Order: sequence, then C-alpha cells, then structure tokens
Amino acid sequence: MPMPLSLKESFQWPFSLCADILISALHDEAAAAANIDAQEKIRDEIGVRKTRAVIDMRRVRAISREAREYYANERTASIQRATALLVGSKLTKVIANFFMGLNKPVSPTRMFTNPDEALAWLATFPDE
Amino acid sequence: MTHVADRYDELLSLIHALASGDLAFRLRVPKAGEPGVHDDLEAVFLGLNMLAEELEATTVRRDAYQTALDELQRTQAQLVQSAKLAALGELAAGVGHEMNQPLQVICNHIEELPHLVEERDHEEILRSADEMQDAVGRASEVIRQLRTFARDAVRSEREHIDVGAMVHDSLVLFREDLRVRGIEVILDLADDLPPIHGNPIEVQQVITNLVLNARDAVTGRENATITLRTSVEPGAVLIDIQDTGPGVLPELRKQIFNPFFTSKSEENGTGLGLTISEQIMRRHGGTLTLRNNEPPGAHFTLRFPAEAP
Repeated sequence: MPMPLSLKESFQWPFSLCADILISALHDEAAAAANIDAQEKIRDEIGVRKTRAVIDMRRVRAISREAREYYANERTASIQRATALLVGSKLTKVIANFFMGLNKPVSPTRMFTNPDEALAWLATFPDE
Repeated sequence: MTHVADRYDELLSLIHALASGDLAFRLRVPKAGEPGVHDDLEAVFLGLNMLAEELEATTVRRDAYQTALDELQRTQAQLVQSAKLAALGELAAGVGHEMNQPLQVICNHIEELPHLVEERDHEEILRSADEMQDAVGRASEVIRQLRTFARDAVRSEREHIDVGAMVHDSLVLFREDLRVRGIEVILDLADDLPPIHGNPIEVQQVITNLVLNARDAVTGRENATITLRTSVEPGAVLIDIQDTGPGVLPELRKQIFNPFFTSKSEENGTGLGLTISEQIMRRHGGTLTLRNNEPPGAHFTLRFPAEAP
C-alpha cells in the first residue's frame, strides 16, 4: 500500500488515496502551486485519477488571495476529487470560510475540526 | 486580555479608509498567544483584512471591465459610422448610374439632331424631343428623391410614412443600376395601406439595405429577380423583399443578424447592414425576419406596427 505524504499517528489510513498536506504558517501562491504539485505526484504514484485530500491548516496564520484562487482553480480540481480542510482556531475557520464562500472551489470541500470525521467524509467519495 | 471591543479605534480606521477609497489599507493583525491577545481578536482582524482585500480586487476588476466596455462602445460607434459611410458610397454610386442613363439618352439625341434638321425629318425631331423630355423627367425624379433623402437625413423626428411610396422612392436611386445588371424588379404594392409612424430616413435605410443585399445576391444569375411586396395584416404593415439568389444556408440563418457576419468580401460588406436594420426595426416597434427559402432565394419580411386610423 503506498504511503501518504506524511505519517500522522492520529490518522488512520483505511484507504490508500488520502494525502495529508501540511500547510506552512504563511501561504502564498508559490506554496499553493508546490502543494498541488506534491498532490499530483502522489496521485501518479498511487495510480488513481484524483486524490482525496486532508489539508491540515491548523497552523495557518494567513493565506494570500492568490493562493486561495490557486486552490480553487481548474488545475487543482483536475487533481483533487474532494478536500477536507482541517481547522482548529477561530482564525483558521475564518480563512476556511473565506476559501469556500468566496473562492468556491470546484471539487467538493468541507471544513472539519475532527480528523476522523474528515477521513470518514472523504471515504464517501468513490475511487476514480 | 484584550478583546475586539478594546480595539474599536483600529476597526474604525479600516472602515474610514475603505469608505474614502483607500482600498489598500490593512489592519495590523495581532497574534493570538501574544500577551493579552484573545483568539477572537486575531480572527476578526484577519477576517476584516481579507474582506478589504476582496473589495480591492473586485474594484480593480470592475474598473477594468468598465474600461473594456467603454472601448467596446467606442469601437461599435466607429463601426456603425463606417457602415453608414459605406451605405452612402453605395448611394452615391447608385445616383451616378441613375443620372448617367438619362444624360446618355439626351447626349445621343443631341448628336442626332443636326442630321435630323438637315434632313427636315420633323417627325423624328419631335420623337427625339419627346425622348429627351422623358430622360429629363427621369433625371429630375432622381434629383427629387435625392433631395428628399438629404432633407430627411437632417430630421430625426418621426412622422407618418406612406410605405408604398417609400418602397417606390427607394428604388428610384437604383433602378438604372439594377437594369444594367439585368435584374428584373417586380413591385406588388397593395392599395390603401395604413401609414406607419417612423423615421423616414431610417426606414428607407432598411429597405435600401435589403434591396442592395438582394441585388448582390442575384447579380450574374439567370432569371435574376427582386420582388418587393407590401401587404397589411391586423395591426401591421408588411414589406416583403424576396430575391432569386442562392438564399441563406440553414446553418447560417441564426448568424446573419450578428454584427460583422457577411458573405461578401471585405471590400463589399461591413457585416453590419442587417444588424443595424434589425435595430432600426426594433426601435420602430417592428421586426425584421428571414423566412424559409421556399421558393429558393432570400425572403425578408419587415413588419411595422400600423398607425391607428
């Protein structure tokens, strides 16, 4: 079974298609592009058409508008089947709400505070 | 612990800045975890900064759209003017043809006159005089119609229009041109048509445009014919302009009223004639439609609301 990008003991990996992407504290468009590049690589290694991704943004302090637009663009949608945003503080909830409300990502996106619930939701999307 | 309520002044400064048009203004976002800074403060300040950022981006986009729209409108106005000038050129050419023919007749007879006088052929002299008089009459009619055209061009108000007379007058300026091209014109004008209310110059522009399109469609073809027919329906006066040209291909029928669509070469067509004609008809509360090619050829119908008696 292919390994995810980074191992988290608190996460269970019932299926091989999840990728845990860590976002650095300050996030710009270049970082967003690198993030999507990494997901694309995982997708190719796993051998599926699209990933189901948990984006851990609990340590994010700010994310640029350009980065948000990048995450919502067609290229990202061509790689991501569905995305679970892991948030913690009120700040990260504000950021996630902005992303989902204003940038309107093409692929299904939901916000979670509980990693298990995030994984359970992603599991409802069939493999592609 | 510092809460949002303790930082009202800073929040107000953002509001004032945005309201005054300083859309680049941003708050300094306090970090949660700093001494005395509550979680809420960081979230609210960052959230407000993100809103300001969206407002700035939206304003930039709106300004760009407005600039593009202004440019588009300017270009459109230029193109409409260009189409009008092209139509004027057609008109000038038509007038040239129409004047040339009677003048040629007069010239020919004048050349013959010395011989006829010498031979004392009084009958032939009188016949020549009659033909020259007819030619002068035709030339006068062209000049009269041109004067009417020029007078109407100055006026922009609407008035009663006799549709039958309008159709007839529209052809005067192109009759000779059509004859030289071997195009037969059939007029089927109904009697007692109710008048319509419109701008004469615009209505004539539409009829002229359709006649010229028909002319171009049938030139060089066998049995080249243009038929103009007027009729009345309840509440409407119709003008049908039909030709024996190739007609409009089914796949092009929806496009012909689009700006810049033309089947003519660049020198001969701006692609705006039908677009402008359709707009004029809409302004008059009427319609310009293309009927099916039965029989073959293009068949346009102008429908004007009739004036109440």
